[in-house]
Amino acid sequence: MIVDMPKFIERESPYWRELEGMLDSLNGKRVLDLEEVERLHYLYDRAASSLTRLATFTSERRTYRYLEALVARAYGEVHTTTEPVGKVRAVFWFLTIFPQTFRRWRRAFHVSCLVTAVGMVFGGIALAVDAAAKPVLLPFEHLQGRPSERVRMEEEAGSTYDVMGNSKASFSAQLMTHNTKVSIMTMSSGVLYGLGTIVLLFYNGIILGAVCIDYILDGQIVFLLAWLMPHGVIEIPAILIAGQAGLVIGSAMVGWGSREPLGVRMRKIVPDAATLIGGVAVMLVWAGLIEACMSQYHAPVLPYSVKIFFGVVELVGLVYLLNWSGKQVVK
Amino acid sequence: MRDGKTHQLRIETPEGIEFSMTLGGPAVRAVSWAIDVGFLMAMQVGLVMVAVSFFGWAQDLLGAVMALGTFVLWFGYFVLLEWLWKGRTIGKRMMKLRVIDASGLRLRFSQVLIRNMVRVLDAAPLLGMVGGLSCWLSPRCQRFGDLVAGTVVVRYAEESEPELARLDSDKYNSLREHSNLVVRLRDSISPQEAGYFLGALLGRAGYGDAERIELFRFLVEYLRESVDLPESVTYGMSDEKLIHNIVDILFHA
Repeated sequence: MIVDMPKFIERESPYWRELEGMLDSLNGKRVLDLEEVERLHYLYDRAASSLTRLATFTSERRTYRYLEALVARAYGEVHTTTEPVGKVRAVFWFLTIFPQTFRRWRRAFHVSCLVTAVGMVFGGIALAVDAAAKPVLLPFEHLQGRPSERVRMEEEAGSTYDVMGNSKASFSAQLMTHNTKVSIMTMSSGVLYGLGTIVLLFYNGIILGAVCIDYILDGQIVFLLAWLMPHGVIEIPAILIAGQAGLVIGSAMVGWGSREPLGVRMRKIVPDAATLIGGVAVMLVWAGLIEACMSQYHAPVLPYSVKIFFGVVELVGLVYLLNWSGKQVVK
Repeated sequence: MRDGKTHQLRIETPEGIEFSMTLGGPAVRAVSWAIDVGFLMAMQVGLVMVAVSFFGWAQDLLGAVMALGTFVLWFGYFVLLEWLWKGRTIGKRMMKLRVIDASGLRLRFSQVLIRNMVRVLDAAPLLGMVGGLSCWLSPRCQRFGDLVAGTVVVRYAEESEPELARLDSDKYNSLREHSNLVVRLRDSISPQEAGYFLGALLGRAGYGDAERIELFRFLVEYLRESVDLPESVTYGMSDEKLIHNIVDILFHA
């Protein structure tokens, strides 16, 4: 097709500039009325048509590239149908979107629980049959001694001074950031076809199982529950949900039973993975606060019954949130 | 698809329009990342100074602000900037890179979030080696974060309209009298070559006389290798005039 370039540019450039201005003003935030939407479509079609005409004309590449970039921008605006992020309300998102997403991928959560449980059994048995392996299974200094000795020291210390002293805020912040990083890593490792997530969940399970068996065998079940439950009933499920997100990513990578290409499969699960990891972050902020302000205080300062009761209340609340919250809202 | 030589991402719209974008390769992305890390380090120093001046009296609070501030800074920087600046950070702006949806649609917040969450894996074990290797091996130059989020990093440049008015196209062009030659020229000369000829004409004032003669002599010799230019048509025409007339034919119907 032969095009007289100067005349062509002279005739079409006002439309291109109008489209460019419209795209600049949109910026993903402004909502267009029907008339503007029609105009946007018209300008997009016109620019796309110009691009096609220029594609057959060999000489003018600068205009062609300019139009390509313009059509690419307009294409993104015209064909994208997602809601702008600013419209999502935080409370509604946490109480409705997050639990709905969790339920949509319940099977991945069950797998996450199963892998962690297998790790716990492995860690528990390993510690029970080989106590000498404790430094390897539990590479944390404060868990190296006998649990009963720790309980005695914590209770004695608690009755004489504030064990957390003036470090609640920094301890809490460190817990939040550390656990969030672990969760992000657990989710991200799902890109290795889910195997990375499984390894990390299994490793977490080993540590958890070894700690539990260590305290149970030493007769410190009540202390264990009172120590772990206030923060653990939120923190452990948070890690499991991060694992769930990782497994969702892993399953999309593998693509069992799907004929869709990888890009399409990932496109479908990315919003859900983002929602899950967002929910995990909120849960870990709460768990970090509770661990610094409550979990580290023991009897006689804070009776074990109170701590266990608090943990049970939290657990019931979490189970309700994940299983029933947002059910009545039509998707 | 990424073209094997030019690293082009080609997108075909439902309307049948095809457009392409140049993908950002591992090297240019590494430079962009290094710039961002430099800015982050500077901001980290700023954070320490602000935190100490405001919370220096309370060690506990200072520790909390530093831990949370550092975490938010290193994770939030990429998420916030890529979201607000439509796929660009400071480093990407400087290197003229942009993150876009792999199918050309508008970048969604969930994509920005996930591609930056997976950065922890891409950064392992040191200096983004996993991500760099993944980017190098991937047909679309995608690191793991891009693969999961369905994004690609493309190079962009501000394109402007051509300066054809400076070509004096109203003057008589004897080549136009040979319609067969006109068709041959349009068929044989690639867009890239046409761009070179146009560039040489627009920039000719910047050369000395000898350089100018040499440049256009070289271009004509180059042209004669692919297009048959009969002596009877070009007789008496300087190399510069010949290139001028050919460009006129290519750019004006």
